[in-house]
Amino acid sequence: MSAVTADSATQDHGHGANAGHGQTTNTGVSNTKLAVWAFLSSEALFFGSFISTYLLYRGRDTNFAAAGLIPEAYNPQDLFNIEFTSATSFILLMSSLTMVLALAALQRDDHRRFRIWIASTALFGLTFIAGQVYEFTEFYREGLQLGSGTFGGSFYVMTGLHGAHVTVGIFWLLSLYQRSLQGKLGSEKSEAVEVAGLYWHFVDIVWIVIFTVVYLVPYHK
Amino acid sequence: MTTLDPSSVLAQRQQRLARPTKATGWTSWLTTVDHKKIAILYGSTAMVFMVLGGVEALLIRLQLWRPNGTVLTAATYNQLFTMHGTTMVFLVGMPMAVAFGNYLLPLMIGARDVAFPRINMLGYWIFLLGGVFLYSSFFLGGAPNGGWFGYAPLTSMPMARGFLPSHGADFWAIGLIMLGIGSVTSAVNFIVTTLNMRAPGMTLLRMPVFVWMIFIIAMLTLFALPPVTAALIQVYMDRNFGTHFFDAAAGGDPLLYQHLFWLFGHPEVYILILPGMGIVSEILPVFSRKPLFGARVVVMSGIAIGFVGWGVWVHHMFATGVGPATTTGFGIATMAIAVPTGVKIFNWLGTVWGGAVRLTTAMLYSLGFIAMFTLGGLSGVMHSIVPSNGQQHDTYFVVAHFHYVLFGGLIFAIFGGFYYWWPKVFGHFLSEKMGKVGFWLLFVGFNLTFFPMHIVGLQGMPRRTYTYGTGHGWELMNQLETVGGFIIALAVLVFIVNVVASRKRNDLAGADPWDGRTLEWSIPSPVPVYNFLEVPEVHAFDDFWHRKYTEDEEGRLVRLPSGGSDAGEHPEGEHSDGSHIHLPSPSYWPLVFAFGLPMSGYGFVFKNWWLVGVGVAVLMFGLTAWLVEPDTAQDDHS
Amino acid sequence: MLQGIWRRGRHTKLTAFVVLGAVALAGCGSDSRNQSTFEANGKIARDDANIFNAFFIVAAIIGIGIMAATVFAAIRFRSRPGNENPVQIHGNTKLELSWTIAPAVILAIMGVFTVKMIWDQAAKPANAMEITVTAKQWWWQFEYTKVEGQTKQVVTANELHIPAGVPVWLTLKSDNVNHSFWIPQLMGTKDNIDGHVNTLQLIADEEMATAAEVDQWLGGQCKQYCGLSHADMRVRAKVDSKEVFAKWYESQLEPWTAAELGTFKQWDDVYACSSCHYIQGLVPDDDAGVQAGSKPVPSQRGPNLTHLADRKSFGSATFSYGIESIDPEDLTEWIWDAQKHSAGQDNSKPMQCPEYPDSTAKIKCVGMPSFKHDKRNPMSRETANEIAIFLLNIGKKA
Repeated sequence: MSAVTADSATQDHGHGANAGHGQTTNTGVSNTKLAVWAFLSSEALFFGSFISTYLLYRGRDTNFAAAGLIPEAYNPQDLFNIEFTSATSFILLMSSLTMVLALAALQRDDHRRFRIWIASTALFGLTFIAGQVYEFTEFYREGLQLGSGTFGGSFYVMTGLHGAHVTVGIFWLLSLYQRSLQGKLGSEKSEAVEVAGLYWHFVDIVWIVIFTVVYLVPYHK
Repeated sequence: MTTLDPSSVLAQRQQRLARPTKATGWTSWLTTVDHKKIAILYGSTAMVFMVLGGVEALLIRLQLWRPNGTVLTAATYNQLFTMHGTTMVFLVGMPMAVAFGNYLLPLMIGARDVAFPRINMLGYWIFLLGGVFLYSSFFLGGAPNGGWFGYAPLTSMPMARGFLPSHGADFWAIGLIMLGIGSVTSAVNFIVTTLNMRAPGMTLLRMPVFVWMIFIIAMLTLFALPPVTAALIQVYMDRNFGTHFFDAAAGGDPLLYQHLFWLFGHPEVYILILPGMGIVSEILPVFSRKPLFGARVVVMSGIAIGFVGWGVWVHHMFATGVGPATTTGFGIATMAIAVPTGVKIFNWLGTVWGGAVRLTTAMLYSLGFIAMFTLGGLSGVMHSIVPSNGQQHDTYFVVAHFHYVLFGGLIFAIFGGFYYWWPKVFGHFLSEKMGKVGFWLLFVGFNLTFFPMHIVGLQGMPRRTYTYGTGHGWELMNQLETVGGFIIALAVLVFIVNVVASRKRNDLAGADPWDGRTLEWSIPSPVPVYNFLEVPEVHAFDDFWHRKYTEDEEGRLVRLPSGGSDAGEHPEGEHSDGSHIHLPSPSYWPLVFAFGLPMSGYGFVFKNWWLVGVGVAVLMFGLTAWLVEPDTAQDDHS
Repeated sequence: MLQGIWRRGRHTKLTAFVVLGAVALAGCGSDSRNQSTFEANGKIARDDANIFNAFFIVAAIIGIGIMAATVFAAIRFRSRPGNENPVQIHGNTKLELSWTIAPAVILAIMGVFTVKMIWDQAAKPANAMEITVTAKQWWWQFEYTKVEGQTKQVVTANELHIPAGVPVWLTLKSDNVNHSFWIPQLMGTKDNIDGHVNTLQLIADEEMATAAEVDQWLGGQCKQYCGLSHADMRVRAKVDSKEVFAKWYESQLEPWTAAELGTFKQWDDVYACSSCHYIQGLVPDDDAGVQAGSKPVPSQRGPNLTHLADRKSFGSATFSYGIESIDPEDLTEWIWDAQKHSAGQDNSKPMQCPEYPDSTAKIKCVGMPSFKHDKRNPMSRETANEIAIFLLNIGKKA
């Protein structure tokens, strides 16, 4: 057969789950990164389905209550504390910035800064989740339950699933922090941070959409 | 900040619990990451589920043998038809495609494994445990009974309201979410493998048609599963937590469920049939000794089907009253999708036409595929005629239609694929004689079962009815169908006997028994663990064929003197055993990870939050250990 | 013109099926339930069948052609000594273009006819009689909301009476899960979906008009899987001449006598029949208690029993089917122990209506409960028989 090309030579060294640096692929994008992109595109449709559900039902139970079909309607705008949620949303948005800084720090082998930024990202995420837990408790106390018309379900399930994604992200970030502490996360493995970042930015973007659709757009059509 | 150091704890544990290294013996199957072994696991497990789904179908046929049948109660019947559909779609059709894709995709593009071997294994375990989870419901109060399509609000009404008085619908929703996770992992794996792992020279347009079809269904899976997952979560929440996604009395909309479901469900049809088209597109050229007629067009029409397949889902919902404008649009889109499908059929015929046809079992199945799939396709087009759809909708006419597509199509292709690639996978031939007997049994049994369904459907027999009264004139057709069903069972039995007998007889096949065209035939049978001793360099579509043959000026085949398999003529030397090739090492963690899912699944069904917690903990443990573990054991210490 | 095509078309279709299946004919023709789409007795059903037949023939030609070509190619081009190395044809642009365009043209023609018919059938005919069809679990309720010259509404169940030749506009509703209303010889199906209002038109043929006493029905049944008794959720329609229909309609408006109401009340007090079934006048519509919410609203969870005696079958057109009137013994069994007779239910676990007798939970009743197995007031078979005979004799002044 023909001479072993550069491509096949690298493939000879096994191509495993975390094909990172040093491995050539047909597309030039590493396997891991491509996989995360593919996965996130699937996730986008997942959230898209819930956001569509929310939009379909937006304002509906108000109409139903007006027609006497359900006992009471919920006007979420009365419940929302826009200032508070804007603040936590801003914090989550900022965490994307610190995520970028963390990756940049790692790429120039500045491990101390990397750990600071990655910890801040996780902390910001945690703040956001704490805000969400507080918000849910408040709403629940004020009478918004899962069974409150269609709004209760579509609101809690959509934002709750988003919160779950943020939580998974926090664990992911902390595991990177841990690996860095152990000295196992050199700049040559910065792709591990990059893909965590992709996920984190994605979750952020989803929140921007949810925040706009749920909190900023008026509930009544 | 002092935290528990999980990875160092794990590292210690790993020293005690040594990484699995065995490559043979039954334990090796638990931890293997070899795409070929995983493919065999997928295939054999799907075969077991096929037998289970088949038994369910036979019971259904026995019940419908005569009017007012008493073989099954309505409650049992409803469970059986639900599980038959769910099994055949999620536990047979999809995993069979993954089985073929897993085995062949890396071989056909000249790779040594898929991109993510451990995720590959994870996908299998989720499939197996998800299937076991679904079937365990039979022993835990009742199997799913809301139909494989599980329309809300029937499935989403709280159990206490008595519409579906068992945990069946919960098992169904949670089980399908689990299986969906598994499918997405294998889809991601296939996509990355196809895009990234091709051998030098294997451009996208030089990829075999089968690889293309697997790539397209991976994309479809990736985008089709999220909507249905969302719908299933909503069903589960409605049923168990009092939300009102589909409860019209509180402002919900039952039609939303149908939109989300069919937004998945229609692409799902193509997810099921495209691999079959891919298999046939490989078999027909080999046994006609002619290249696939218009190979690029076949690929392009596959892509077209992949795209247009997103725009036809409402044709499952013509009866829901979506309005004349919507039905017009979707009716026309449905007619349009018949064009790329028709193109494929003509191209397959064009391949056979003027060839040198060898009627092997694999070829018989492929020709049977063309004929049966054509019938299924034509009755499908008839459904796009919206007014008469109102008559055919939800009758046995529809049952006949999709069995012609999925049984006459997919299952025929799968059996063809078995006979074609069996020598490659196991090194020996399946008996051709028994294969042909099996084919004719299946062909006759299949048509006897499903052709009368067209007629009885038009005679007004609706689907999903556990019984029918006298005086309809449906008796004869139903009896023919039942007889046919048992002939199908006999055909499957012949296949199983063939597998066992052929294994015993061990008629060795060699590397290239059919004079194949694609790369998998260039390497020994069964395929060595590293696949390719040297990664091949590809120069053309059907590269291996062009190494063996050229064409004279009239276009006739001419065998090249030196051409042929390089299997068995390995260069002598220290590397001839492939020992220099570093392959991913086996791992326990996919199995551990996968076990977490059904555990929390049972927790969700029975609302036992402790169990959910334990399941999630197991899952997290498996995941953490997995991430800490390197791909290949050797890298660990080097 | 269409009718002519249909009369011939039916035979063409049967012939085609013989060609294809050889087994087709034996099954046809013995349909005494009139549920086969091979026979159309209304305009919509005939249109559906005509368009189906036209394209069935096209599809059959294409299908037979492709199958024949497949078999021919497999035999004609079999590998023989000397032809092992055939000419390698990689494709043919002209040919491929033509077999892309040809189906597209056929489909386009099909599309034109289809689209026209979609819009025709969706339009509400002028001067239509209007009936609301509500799908229950598991039976059908018909409310005649607009009948010429009539202002009072008739509510009946499972047996649809329509006048011949008059366009009927059906409004389809459901108050529970999805169902689908279908009487194949009159029209194709449309779903009943809670929260949605669907419509369907039908016009029964003039020649289908039958006298009052002729027991000729067009069969149909629920087509959308709706749970346990889906198969038993049947329906049937009787096409009357205009005069017969008017007479039937009048008879349905007649209330019970005070004596009859009094007799029934004694059972109602014990078994709470009216918590599911509507009986005209039993709970007066202007009852102060109803308006205050302390008494149940006249319920329509079960079929209207006021004129059960005029119906020829019960249990969603499943029982006493095919005999001249409801068999008192059948009805007795049903009242006494319905669960035993519905959907082959396992009698050891009677599916109790959770709302019966005292439950205040907002739970919908699913199916008819078994009064024989009721814990508080087990019904004797004698009582069931008395109720059955009482209900079947209403309005029949012997």
